[in-house]
Amino acid sequence: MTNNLTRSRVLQLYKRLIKLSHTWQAVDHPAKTAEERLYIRNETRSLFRKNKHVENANELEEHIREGEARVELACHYKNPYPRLVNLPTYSLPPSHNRIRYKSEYEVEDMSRPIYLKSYEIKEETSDNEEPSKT
Amino acid sequence: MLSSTFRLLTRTSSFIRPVIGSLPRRSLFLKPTLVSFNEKHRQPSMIINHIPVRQSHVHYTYPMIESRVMLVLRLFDKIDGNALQLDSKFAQDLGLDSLDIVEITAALEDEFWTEIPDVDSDHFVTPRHIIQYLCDKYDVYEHVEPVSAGKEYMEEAKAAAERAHHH
Repeated sequence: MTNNLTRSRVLQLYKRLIKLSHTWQAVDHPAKTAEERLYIRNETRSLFRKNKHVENANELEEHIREGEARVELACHYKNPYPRLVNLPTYSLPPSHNRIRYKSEYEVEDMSRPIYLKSYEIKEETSDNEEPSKT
Repeated sequence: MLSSTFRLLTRTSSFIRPVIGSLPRRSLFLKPTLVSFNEKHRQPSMIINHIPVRQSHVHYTYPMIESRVMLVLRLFDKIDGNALQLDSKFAQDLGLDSLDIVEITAALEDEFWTEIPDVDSDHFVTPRHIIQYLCDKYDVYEHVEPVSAGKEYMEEAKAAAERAHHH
């Protein structure tokens, strides 16, 4: 179970994000201050709730790192939205005909930055089945 | 939206100060929130987001603290206003978890311009606990029954002495 230290770290991070959402000022688009504040608040609520059940200590540590990374990036670049990434440069795009082995998925997971850890990637296939991995 | 609504309310509540007869004769001290038309201001937009300064002569009373705490709780969107009572527990009756308690604590910190550490906010179970905590913080004790050290103490001392005799 999560010990008290990690629990208090998680709660402190959550409180820091909520306070940030109260005092956020949008620099690039000042008219969007309210929108960005709402975005910060809703993102923290949904992502923290989504990952509430995580038990593994290493995963938990990485999720805390993800939260702190997003706070630092948002404060530094004055932009709360995460910078999205594409496929790694050396990989092939997904297509129906090609079999993707597990190692390819693992490499793609490892190459994604830490601040996008909680986001799911969905493969766009025109078939009925849509594999999605967290 | 939660944050801008109660920020507006906290600003207005700090403006409208009760004019009691004992206060010295001067007009209500209004903080500027509109853009000033003085051209010499370097950054007129700063005035719009001016943070009100906490006045040290605000007189805290129990009804004021209670109504402000209940207002902040009602403004929270995960709390059902009809189900909220003084003694309704956050976890059981209102269905909130620890993350929501942290959010409520952050809102209360903004409302009362004070810091509430995590060790204290972990023990908030009902709104009454919060109100009692804030009353302790601001030394408000008008709602507490005074314990007289006179008659009751003598009776208790007598009963304890009799029990000691019998044993």
